[in-house]
Amino acid sequence: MVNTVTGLTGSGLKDWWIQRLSAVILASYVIFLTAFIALHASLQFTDWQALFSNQAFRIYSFFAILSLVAHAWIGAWTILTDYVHCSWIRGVLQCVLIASLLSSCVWGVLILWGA
Amino acid sequence: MHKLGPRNISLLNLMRYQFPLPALVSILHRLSGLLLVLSIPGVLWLLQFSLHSADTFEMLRMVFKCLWVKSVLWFVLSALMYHVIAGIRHLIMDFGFFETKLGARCASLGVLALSLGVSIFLGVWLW
Repeated sequence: MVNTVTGLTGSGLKDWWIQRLSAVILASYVIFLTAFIALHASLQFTDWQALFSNQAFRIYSFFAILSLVAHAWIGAWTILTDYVHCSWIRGVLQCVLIASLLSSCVWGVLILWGA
Repeated sequence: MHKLGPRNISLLNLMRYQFPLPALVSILHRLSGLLLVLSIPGVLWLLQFSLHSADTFEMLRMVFKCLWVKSVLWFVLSALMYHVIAGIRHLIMDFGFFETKLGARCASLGVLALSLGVSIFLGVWLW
């Protein structure tokens, strides 16, 4: 079946675990950014730029991007598997999903370490 | 491959079912997740634009003053906050808590109440 081969790991248990792990990483990142924005009442470009120039934060952001790709892949895969019953349409949609997520991953890295 | 039989749930039937609270929380979790996946390119673009230069950063600040931009932003951020809060409920339930009927209802109510509170707070803050 198309299903297991288009999931992130092809194993229900591995997907379950990665979903949780990526969720925790993403939640921590969202909380961090929220706190950062909240603590800078009138956020200036210099503060924002400084944050994203920090190498440690860039690496943290990279992990957040990887987590987002994994988390979104598994989540969207679940939705597609549940509601799209025609195999080939689902297959096409899953390819579109995977292409989109991988492109976003590359784009994210370019934003972090680009010009 | 065998053909799937006739479906016995139609959209009309769906409207007539009574849904317990955990079911509502669950479907909202799924819907908010879908919305968030669809907003990934938008968010990346915003990040890129905000980091490009001081001018583009200030341009964004001006654009964020516009009411419909604020509304969209509020909606997406609310979806994010809801998804995180409902997600935390999932994680707590993985550890075995709230697994009774009453417990699940209480947890669901908690999620909805907390999310509503955060959403209202966000609305006021963005305004």
